[in-house]
Amino acid sequence: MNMDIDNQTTTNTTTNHDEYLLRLVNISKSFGEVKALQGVSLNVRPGTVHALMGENGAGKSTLMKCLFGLYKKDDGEMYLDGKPINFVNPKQALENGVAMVHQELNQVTKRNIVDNLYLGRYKTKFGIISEREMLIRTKGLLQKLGINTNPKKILSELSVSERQMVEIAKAYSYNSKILVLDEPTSSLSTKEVEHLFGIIDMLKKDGCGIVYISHKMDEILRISDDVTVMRDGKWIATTPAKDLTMDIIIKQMVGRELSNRFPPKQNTIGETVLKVNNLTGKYSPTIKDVSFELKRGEILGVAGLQGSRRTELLETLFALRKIESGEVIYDGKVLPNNRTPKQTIKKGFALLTEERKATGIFGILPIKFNSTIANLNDYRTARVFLNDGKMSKDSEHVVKSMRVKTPNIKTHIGSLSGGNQQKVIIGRWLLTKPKVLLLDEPTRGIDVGAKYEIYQLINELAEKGNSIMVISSEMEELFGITDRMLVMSNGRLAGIVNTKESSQEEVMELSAKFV
Amino acid sequence: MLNDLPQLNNQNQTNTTKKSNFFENILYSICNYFKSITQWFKDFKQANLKSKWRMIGKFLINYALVLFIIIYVVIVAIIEPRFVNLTSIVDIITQSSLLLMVSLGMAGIIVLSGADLSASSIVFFVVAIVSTLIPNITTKGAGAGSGIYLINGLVLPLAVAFVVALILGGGVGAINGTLTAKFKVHPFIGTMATNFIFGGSALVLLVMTGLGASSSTIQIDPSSDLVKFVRSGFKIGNVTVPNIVWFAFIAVFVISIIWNKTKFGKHMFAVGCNTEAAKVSGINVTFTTISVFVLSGIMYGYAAFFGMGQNNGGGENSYSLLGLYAIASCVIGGVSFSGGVGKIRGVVFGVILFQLIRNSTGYIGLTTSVGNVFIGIVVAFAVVFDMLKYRQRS
Repeated sequence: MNMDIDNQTTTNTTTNHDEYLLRLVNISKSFGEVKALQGVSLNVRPGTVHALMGENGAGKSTLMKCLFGLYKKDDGEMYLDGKPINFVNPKQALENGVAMVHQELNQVTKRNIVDNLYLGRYKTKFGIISEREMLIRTKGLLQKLGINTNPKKILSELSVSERQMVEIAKAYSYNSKILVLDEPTSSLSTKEVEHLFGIIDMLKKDGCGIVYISHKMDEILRISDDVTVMRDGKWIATTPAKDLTMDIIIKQMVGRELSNRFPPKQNTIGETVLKVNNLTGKYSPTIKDVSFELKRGEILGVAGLQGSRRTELLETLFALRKIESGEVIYDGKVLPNNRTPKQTIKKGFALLTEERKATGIFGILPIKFNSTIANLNDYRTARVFLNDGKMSKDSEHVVKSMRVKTPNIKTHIGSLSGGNQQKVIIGRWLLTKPKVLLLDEPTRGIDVGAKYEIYQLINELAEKGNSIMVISSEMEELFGITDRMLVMSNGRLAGIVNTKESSQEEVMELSAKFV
Repeated sequence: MLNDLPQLNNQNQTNTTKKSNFFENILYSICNYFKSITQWFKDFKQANLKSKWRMIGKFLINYALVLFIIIYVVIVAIIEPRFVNLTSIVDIITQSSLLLMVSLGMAGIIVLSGADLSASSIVFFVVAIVSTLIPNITTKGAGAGSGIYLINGLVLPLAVAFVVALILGGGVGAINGTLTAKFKVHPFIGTMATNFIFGGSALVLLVMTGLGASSSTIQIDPSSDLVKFVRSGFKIGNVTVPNIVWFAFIAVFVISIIWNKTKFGKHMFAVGCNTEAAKVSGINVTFTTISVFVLSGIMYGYAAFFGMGQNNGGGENSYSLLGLYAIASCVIGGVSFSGGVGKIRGVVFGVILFQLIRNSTGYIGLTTSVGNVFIGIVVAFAVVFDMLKYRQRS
């Protein structure tokens, strides 16, 4: 039956409203004076993947949150299967066949997978929860989706990517007609992405409509049938994916042409500034026996699969994680292994963490606070008191030079888009005048335009003689910006490659070395 | 952008050469405050009708507490006009002073998203010890001059006793802080334990010294230096504003400087808001947490010293509810239990509203019990309001 619909829709190109599973018509939404959505329309056919693209702050998530009942739309109509819908809360949406996997995981991390799957709809018999039935169903579901995890496992023990898969399984378990995936692959490794695509194929065959929000062009071009691009809260274009190329999408998204995804590099590499010998962390999961050198003005990438402990490497260097043995020699001096992050910062290190929300921003506090917090020593007068004026000035400067889109520096950082939050945090570190920057997924969840700006910034910092280590899950990004790459595999260093002489295949091979 | 960025590094160096002093710094903040007010009016004049309403709405939300106090006073004054006279106003301010000192300590712990259940006990503990170190202590019935001392014959001058009070308070605070920061005990549990320990110790001490005898009440001679000093003050007409009020003002000033103008203050907010991010930013979370507890302990010691003077010593009952009242006042004042949010201004107005409600019930013919019911409603309302305010932000 589903196949019939498929054939019909692909052959019939005239606009026939009945062929659409979900129709959003002229949706508008404002937050205060900010117009987040202005008359946006979206039509999803059954059995297809409809990609929704746009820079951060373009209104993709807002549109989906209006559909899902998280936001109340100001204007416009929505139809599911031809019937008008207007969900007032997510529960209603879920019960009516609309499920959503959010960009930021909202899970009960101290409960197990079963509990999380059945949260809000526990199976009961005469008012008593039937654990057994839920467990059996969960097992069946995980098996069907090919997820190899014990359903009794507590969520906080799972990796981010596993948790992501659980969230996808949960959405799937609602038997939804429409499934919204908001950046589902941002924390998945290549292998897991393939896995996810398998699940998506399965859903397509069942006749589901999938709305897929992502920044990753290659993924979009591969799996989607239609692509809708939004910009500044407006609908720009909806095009069949087969007629699109990366360049066209970028052009639609930014409204200008980005001929090159990566800025040209002009950094000159100098002498060794950081020498790491047999660094081993104390508490697992951790790194083992990692040795490498970092040179002045160098951009050193850290590649590896999800779970290869790239993050652990940077955090151990930064002394955020305890060091068991090994040596870190910086500027000719051995850094003590029992140092604190504070002391590491004083030496001229800076760490941009992977999870912005959890370990980066102070969400309810203003930009001014967020940009100056690591640099308070600079604002002291009479050794004790802080100079408010100078703090404001520096904060204004961060906002201006990093092009943070915000009304003023008193705005709470939590209300900015991901890219703008990232810029503020990078600005926070630049104020401390670091010599060695450790960047953990600096462009994660950031739109194309802002990504380019961050690449430029990394280059610029390297040109000025700073040394940079950067983790990225996007292989192309590593090849685009680094000089050399460390390849991590299962907590150990699998190899160091020269970016110019290496290939993606070689890096992939190395990252599987110790798995 | 490209050309701007390098300046990020250079700009600071040029700035550090110009050093401004502390008072310039304060003056700057005050100027800024007035500037922001005039800016508000300027914006308001230029805004269109819709955003004018929005600005008014925002203003009402930001100053809800002050407006509520005004409305409350007006209503009480309509019911009983005698309420608005100098004596009752000075009464409220005087009685607020002790609570305010405790609340200023408590607020820091709430900013760390904790709560201190031991505040009352620490105050009582300090009272019990320090009262045996200063002159002119009398047991019930005994004549003036025949004091009882912790160490026979050791009588400390007031200034030294004051310092001892601060150190004692700070010491107990350090224990609370260590439990919380080093041993990761939830502050609620840790301070509950110390609440029993120090509340109990104070009573044991009273019995041992015979100071409290059976009544567990400490009496300081009303003619002693401390009582005279704290209770005297300057006169407005025939109403005396006691010195304790000034010491409460000093505490407000000092704590607001610490909160807003020092590194420690910023660190406190950072830890309260996001511990992990604070750690990454190079903040010593353990040290900061302990320091916040020590600071609050010092405030309790401060409160104990002046409270002792104001109350002629006083019994366990005079202090036993102070901690809870302080928590209530902080909550009314918008210090959020989710951590990272709070203003000294809020704490001050929270305490004033709290005391206002308690004092006004008598005037309008209600018992204090009814006042308690009303305070409960206000606290609940304040929290709901806080949540709404927070929701609007995000």
